[in-house]
Amino acid sequence: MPLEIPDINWSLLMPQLVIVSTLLIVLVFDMFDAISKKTLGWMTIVGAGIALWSSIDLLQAGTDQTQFNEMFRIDSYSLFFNIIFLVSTILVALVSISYLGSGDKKQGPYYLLILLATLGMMLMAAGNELIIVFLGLELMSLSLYVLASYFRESPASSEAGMKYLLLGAFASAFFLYGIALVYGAAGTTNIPEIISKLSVGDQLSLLSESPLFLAGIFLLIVGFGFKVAIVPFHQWAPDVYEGAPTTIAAFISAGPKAAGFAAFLTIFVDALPKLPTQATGVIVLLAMLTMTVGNVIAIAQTNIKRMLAYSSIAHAGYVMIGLAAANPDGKSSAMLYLFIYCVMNIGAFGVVIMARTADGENLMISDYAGLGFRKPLLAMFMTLMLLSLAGFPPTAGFVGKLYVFKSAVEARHYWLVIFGAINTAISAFYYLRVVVTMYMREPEEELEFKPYPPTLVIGLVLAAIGILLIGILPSLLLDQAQSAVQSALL
Amino acid sequence: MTADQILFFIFGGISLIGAIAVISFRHPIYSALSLIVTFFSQAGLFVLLGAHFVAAVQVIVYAGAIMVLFLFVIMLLNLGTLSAKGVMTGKLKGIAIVLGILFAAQGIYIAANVFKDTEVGSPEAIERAAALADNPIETYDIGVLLFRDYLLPFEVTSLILLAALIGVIVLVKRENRVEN
Repeated sequence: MPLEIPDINWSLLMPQLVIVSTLLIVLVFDMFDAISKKTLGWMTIVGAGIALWSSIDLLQAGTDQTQFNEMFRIDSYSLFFNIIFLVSTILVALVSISYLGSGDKKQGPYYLLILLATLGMMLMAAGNELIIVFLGLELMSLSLYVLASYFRESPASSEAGMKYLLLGAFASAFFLYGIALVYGAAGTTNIPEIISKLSVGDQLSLLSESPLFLAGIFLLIVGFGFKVAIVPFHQWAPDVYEGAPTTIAAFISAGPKAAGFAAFLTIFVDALPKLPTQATGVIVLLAMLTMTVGNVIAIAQTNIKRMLAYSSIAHAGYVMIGLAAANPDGKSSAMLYLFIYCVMNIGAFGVVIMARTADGENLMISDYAGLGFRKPLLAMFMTLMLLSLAGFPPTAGFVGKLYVFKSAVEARHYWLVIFGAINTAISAFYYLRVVVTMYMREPEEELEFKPYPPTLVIGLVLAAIGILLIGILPSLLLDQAQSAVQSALL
Repeated sequence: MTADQILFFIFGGISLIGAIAVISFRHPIYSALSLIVTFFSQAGLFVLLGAHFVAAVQVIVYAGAIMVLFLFVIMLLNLGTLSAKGVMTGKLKGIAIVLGILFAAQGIYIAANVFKDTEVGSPEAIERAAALADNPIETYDIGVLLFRDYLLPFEVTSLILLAALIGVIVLVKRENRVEN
């Protein structure tokens, strides 16, 4: 009996195929000592660039199809997220080339793991099936555990990897158990099918009240909550960001968070209106907690990496506002916010790397004193990134917050918006404190800064242009995000 | 007694003898080797049930790969013969006895309730096994599931294994320090 070969339209899978080929090429070329390790970094950038180009190409063609038995979606939603992941990967790779230098022999696997993690994220965003989402999550997480402990000589890095692995494994178990319970109640792991089973005509079905199903849904929230670091599942984030190599901290804070939210939004924006109101209440509560705890604890931080870690927790809270709104605008504004957040966060971490001196990284906020006069370019980048993170116009951060809050107003979550606004004010305090330190305080000691590596400057310039461009012309991205959500509705 | 029944008792008997041998030998290598006997005879039981694929996997994965892993660990740890008293002492022994009794009670309860209508090796049971053997879940069906219906998860799993493999090498590889 010949096995029917499934009909696969390879051209739709271009972005993923390009990433897989690139990582295999990097794997093979890593064996040759004659090839400089920097070349591997450039290969990664070129591969991700081609994948980015083909994603944009597919997006413009208005592709809306599924492959592999409806397990894998190629629609504007997943393609939009592909763009977020690939832009993050390119920026991180650019920053990494100079961060790692050319001396270290172990760089091949570094780029390989970044590509594998990127592929996992793309699968999470494209997964139309809980199994695919889970496999993508595992592919991404496994690569990140190793990347977090990449500097084996540093105890902090090993500790970061270990903590991330242990807590991540727990979260994966919760997530998988949630999938099992949802499957047990709904009889399928296909996400649109599960959502359609929640209602019969205009009425909610019995499934939406079934304790088994709700238990599964809450376990999924716990699993996702860990991966995107929302309070109270956030404790790992500051330790991991602090201990991991700074480039990897930038990477973990950007792409994987967007990927977690990609799958989170796929399931919950459509499911929340069909679940008991308590489910929305839980999401609203988590969003409030996440914003408040993240911002308040960030004030007390003296280490810039930890401050950025708590700020990234708070930003997850802002994205949760869009999720809690659970309307098309909420979804598209969350997508927009994630894009902006990724670019500005990688930018901020990039500046931290740029402020390195000969004897290591300067991670204390007090080290930035007087930077405004001595290193005007660096201070300018930092100011721009921090203003954007705080949400000042005309930066992209302002646009992102504006649309997220707007969607919550439409959904009548007024308290959520008030909380968000108060938190934005709190966050302005600690972001601006760094700016004030840079421009208005005398340095305590003279620090010898390393010369700026060109790739890092390229990465930062790209991020800065992106932030200003989106800040001034938000429709460039917002239209894409909105049409992505619209096409899913039709 | 039909041939199937005779084979069932042969394989079942060998399986039990192997299992008892695992816990009675004092040398861990002997225990591990006895476990192979149990795995093989269980593969035979699977064949009798018409589950040829499971039988093959049982031999390849359990009797093959997992046993090699066991033996490696035993040899790496360089475990010698256990002392005559064994590892079970004091409190541990008490816990073991309590858990053992609980486990046995559970087994007897299930056997008495769930399987009370089916006498193991009875003509009906064999008839059912034969019916299954006539229309078995073949390797082909599993292949269809893996390579057509669940092709993408299957392929992604291979990438996850690649990531795990590379990760392990990165984390444990000893660095060749270059003197400069």
